[in-house]
Amino acid sequence: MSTSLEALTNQEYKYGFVTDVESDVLPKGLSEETVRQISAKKNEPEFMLAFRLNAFRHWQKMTEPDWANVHYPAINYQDISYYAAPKKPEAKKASLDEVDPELLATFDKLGIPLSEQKRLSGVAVDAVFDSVSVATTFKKDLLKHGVIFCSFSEALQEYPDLIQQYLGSVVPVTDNYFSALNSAVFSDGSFVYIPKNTICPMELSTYFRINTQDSGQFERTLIICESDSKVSYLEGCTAPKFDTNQLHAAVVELVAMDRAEIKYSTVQNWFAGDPKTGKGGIYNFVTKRGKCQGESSRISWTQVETGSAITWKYPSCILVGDNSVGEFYSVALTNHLQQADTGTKMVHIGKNTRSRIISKGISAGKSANSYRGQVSMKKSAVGARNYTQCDSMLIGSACSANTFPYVDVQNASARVEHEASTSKISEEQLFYFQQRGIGTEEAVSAIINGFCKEVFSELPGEFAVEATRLLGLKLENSVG
Amino acid sequence: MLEIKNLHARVQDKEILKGINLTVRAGEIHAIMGPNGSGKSTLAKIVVGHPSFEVTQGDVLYNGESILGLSPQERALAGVFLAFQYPVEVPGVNNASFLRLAYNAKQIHLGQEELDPLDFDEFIREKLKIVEMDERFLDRAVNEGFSGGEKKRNEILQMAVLEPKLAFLDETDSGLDIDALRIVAKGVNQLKRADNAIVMVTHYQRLLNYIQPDYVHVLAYGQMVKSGGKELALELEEKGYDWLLPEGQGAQENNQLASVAGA
Amino acid sequence: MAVTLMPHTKFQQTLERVRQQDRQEPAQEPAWYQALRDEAWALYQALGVPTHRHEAWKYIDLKPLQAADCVSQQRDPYDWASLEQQAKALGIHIFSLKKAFGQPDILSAPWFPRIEAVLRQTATEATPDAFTALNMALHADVLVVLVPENKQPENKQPDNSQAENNTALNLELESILALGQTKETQFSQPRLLFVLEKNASLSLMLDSRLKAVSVTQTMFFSNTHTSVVLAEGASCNLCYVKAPDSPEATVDNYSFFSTRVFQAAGSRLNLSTFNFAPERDHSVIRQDIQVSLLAENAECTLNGLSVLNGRAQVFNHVNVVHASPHCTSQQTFKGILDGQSVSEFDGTITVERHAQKTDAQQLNKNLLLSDDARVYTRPQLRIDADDVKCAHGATVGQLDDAQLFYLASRGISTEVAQCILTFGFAEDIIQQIPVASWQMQLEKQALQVLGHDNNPKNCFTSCLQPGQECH
Repeated sequence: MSTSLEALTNQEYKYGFVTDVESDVLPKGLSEETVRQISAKKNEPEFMLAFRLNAFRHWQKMTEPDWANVHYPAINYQDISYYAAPKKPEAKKASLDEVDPELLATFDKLGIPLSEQKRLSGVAVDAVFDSVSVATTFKKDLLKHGVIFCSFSEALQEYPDLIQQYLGSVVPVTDNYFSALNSAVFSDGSFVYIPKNTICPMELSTYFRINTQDSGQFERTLIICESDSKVSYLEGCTAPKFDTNQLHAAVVELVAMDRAEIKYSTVQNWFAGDPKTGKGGIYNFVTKRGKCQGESSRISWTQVETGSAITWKYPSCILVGDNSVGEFYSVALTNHLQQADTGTKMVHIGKNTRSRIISKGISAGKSANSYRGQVSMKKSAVGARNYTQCDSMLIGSACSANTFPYVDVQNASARVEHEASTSKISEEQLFYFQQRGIGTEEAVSAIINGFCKEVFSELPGEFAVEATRLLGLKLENSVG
Repeated sequence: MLEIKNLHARVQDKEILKGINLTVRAGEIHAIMGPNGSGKSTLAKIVVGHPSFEVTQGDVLYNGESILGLSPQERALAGVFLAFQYPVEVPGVNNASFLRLAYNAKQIHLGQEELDPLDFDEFIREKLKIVEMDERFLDRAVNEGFSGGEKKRNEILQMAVLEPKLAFLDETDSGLDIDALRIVAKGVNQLKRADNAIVMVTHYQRLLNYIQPDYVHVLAYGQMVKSGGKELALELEEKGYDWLLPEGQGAQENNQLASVAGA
Repeated sequence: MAVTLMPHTKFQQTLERVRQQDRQEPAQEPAWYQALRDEAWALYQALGVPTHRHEAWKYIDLKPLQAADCVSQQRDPYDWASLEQQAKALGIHIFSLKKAFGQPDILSAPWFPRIEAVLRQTATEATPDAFTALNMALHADVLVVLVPENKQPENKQPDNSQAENNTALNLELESILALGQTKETQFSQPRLLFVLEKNASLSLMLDSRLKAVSVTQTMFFSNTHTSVVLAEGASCNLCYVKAPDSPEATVDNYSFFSTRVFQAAGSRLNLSTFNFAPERDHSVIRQDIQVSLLAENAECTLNGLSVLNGRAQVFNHVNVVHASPHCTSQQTFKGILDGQSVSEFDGTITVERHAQKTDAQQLNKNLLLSDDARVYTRPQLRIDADDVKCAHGATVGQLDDAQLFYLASRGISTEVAQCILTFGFAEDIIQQIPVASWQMQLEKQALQVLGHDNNPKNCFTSCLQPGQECH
């Protein structure tokens, strides 16, 4: 790589600050007692404790998966605190006035204003700080439409029947090591319920912030969309810079009934660790899965993964209902020493089910970026179709790009198409831009945008702009 | 406007230019001709700052000041343009956005107003007429899947958009059929003004039938071996280049140079 | 490496018995070769027979093999006289390694040290696999083919009209793989070594035919290993054919073929594999191909075609390693699956860090004709260099409706149109074979297994001839 390709300066991770609030942190360590304590702190119904304990017992018997193309020192699960909450708002406050101003300021700084005057119009936000939800905006307005949007803890108190019915119905407790762990110790998250014939009047959004060092974040999201309803949901994430790794093991479950549509978008910008030493950063080990239960239902995952030291994440769709549709649009960017092993799983069970996978991997620096995806056409999936495209872009000669698709077809009327290619940003291209008076940064951003446009076009309005900007920042110092 | 003084340059260890002198004033059209691999394209690339070449001696002055220390982008913004012989393909980047990006970069540099996509659309439609290009060109990725002729026209379109002070046209006629050649030439002639200058780099005389140069130079083995008026081009067409070449230097060295200099 | 305790299966008992016999036999082999075998046996013991947990063996059921009561390992009954005659005619060397160890004229030949070096290099490898280790440990003999520098075996067949002047050498493995008239389950482990020296060229067809047998409840296991070494500028066409001797054959068999190719600068490899399994076939075929492009401008083309019916299962595992810049590779594997057949394609393009300007393509296409058939496909890219052109694709589907309609609109019956298109799907691979006579043989075999050869109603073959009317 020539000097021009190394010229740009490094952009500091701008969300790396720590908020000074007094926290109620459980001592490090994990045992049945820890699980009971978490459940007690949240004053949970009996079924919930039983669910957690069952998960914990399974987890103890399981082993950490090692098949992904990621490498990290063994995690000491006894050296993590499984519960951290800002002390002041012991219970969820009825009004924002009672939320610690320090927390409001934090979210302000992150660009997620929560107070009545400043909050984003058209987007309802559930703000999660360490293990608890601190505020949810527009809750009352949404309830008028029958839409439930609240923190998971609140939902457990107010809608326990819905939770009991659906929790674990998409991601069973025993699904994998990290989901079992989450099921045992999760502390909060978001709950969404869209009743029949309802189109959710605004974007719903959860913003996750890890603040406490040595604490893990284990949130749980459950979205249920009844027949003929529709919702678009967005999650964003950041964390302070610490030189130790923090574990984020979330579980997201989506259920779409007849003709329901769920669009779930993620812009992930966790701290990625020190660019030079790789120290610190988030281990993002997340299980996300949607079930298209009803006929002609649709679940669409869009993700822009830019942060985390390690990403292990496969948002998936189980296409049970006939004519249901699953989609996965992903941009995963790795730079410096980041590692990502991400992709999706499309399981076709119903007739004429369709799925579409568009994955764009960008690797720079010394990072490793892998796409891993599975398309499975069961015998019952008559007439099912899948189209997969996964493209990789390599920037610099010290990174890796891998593609591991798994296709399993058991049905003679199914069609699967997979294609993949690699490309790079070349010196010649950058020179051409420069000769026309366009600077390297802008040139890279134009090329990256072109590479990712099919995914960005799936993001809700302003987040597409945000995603573009984010990729630009992340790539500085890598190209140019 | 442009003054090249005793310019020596090399790529890796191979010396390609061995003392070039050239002066171009505003309002002039120059043609640089010469056998393949003589260093013509290299000269054009050095003026715009291509990183593959190293200037070992001499200087390039633009409006009286050396530009060798400027980045390619700074030179472009100062009004130096190169219509590439082989324009690179940029998949995924929309041609119209690219043109607007370049145009606005220049506007910002000049402290003038940028155009939003709608205004630019109007602006670019006018420019398309100069090179008789279809609007559909705007929706395609930059040069991707363009035919040779389309790429060349796209280069002239960019020249029309950026209105450079000094434009190098590197083998702009190669790969063009006669109709495309006429269109490109017509475009270039329309863009010619009293306050700008054009330097054409070409192997054949053919382009010069359409764009009349004020001066013709012959470049061989990295040196200017002859300069003259447009009649020199006709003489070259008739006699070839051999009569101008120093004795003992045959086609063999040319080929070697060609392979080193690359495209 | 974790030491696995080998389960005391019948299969394992046989292997141990064979190894004991080997050791008791008067040692014809030199000590260094014995040492290589010992090393391989230890490796096999350590790796153990793969199970479903091994990703590369996930879909193969090895339990019947494990339980098989193999009585003996066949000796390789090559027809050495005929082979030596062929070699003489072609001006190349073909010999039995086992015999060579006792023949001073071979051992003292100027080229033998190079063979020895290759034998050492190919004995064990960086990515060990239990069955290749097993072959090294227990093979009965090695068939060595050496094509000396600049040697392009003379063309003895006037009808062979290929542009390159290299002769097709046919090696029939039928004698090795055929079951004898015995009721006992047997196994064989052929090992082959092809060495092409600088600028040499060779075309070779390895035709493994399973003889029709009527013996009931027997099982046959073969584990063939081939090493190919191509020196600078060498050019090699290899064609593997696995087909039953007649469509009526029913053979329960496990046939594993592993091939390792090492290519030097400017060398070219064209390797094609064909698996034809008719309705009554119960073959389980595993094909493991690894090509290392070790120096600049090496090229390899790997093609595969499986036409499967019955309960046949074909597992293709391909890895092309670009270990040097400016190399080109192309993989095209196709499957036509009917009945309860299973096909797996697990292909990888590996581009090492410094292998810039790599141009690598990979394609896997499958026609699924039955709801009971199953396709697994895993085209993978592992890329550690940025200035490369790599692409892969995979499809699983049916015949194209638009094409069927187009043929129908020209008055061709659906049945015939399907035949034409299915055959066309296969023909695409067959036509890339550089030897005309092989092409014809393979077309015939493909038609046979597709069931189109002797059905006049299909008028299939005539449809393919230009200018002929279709009924």
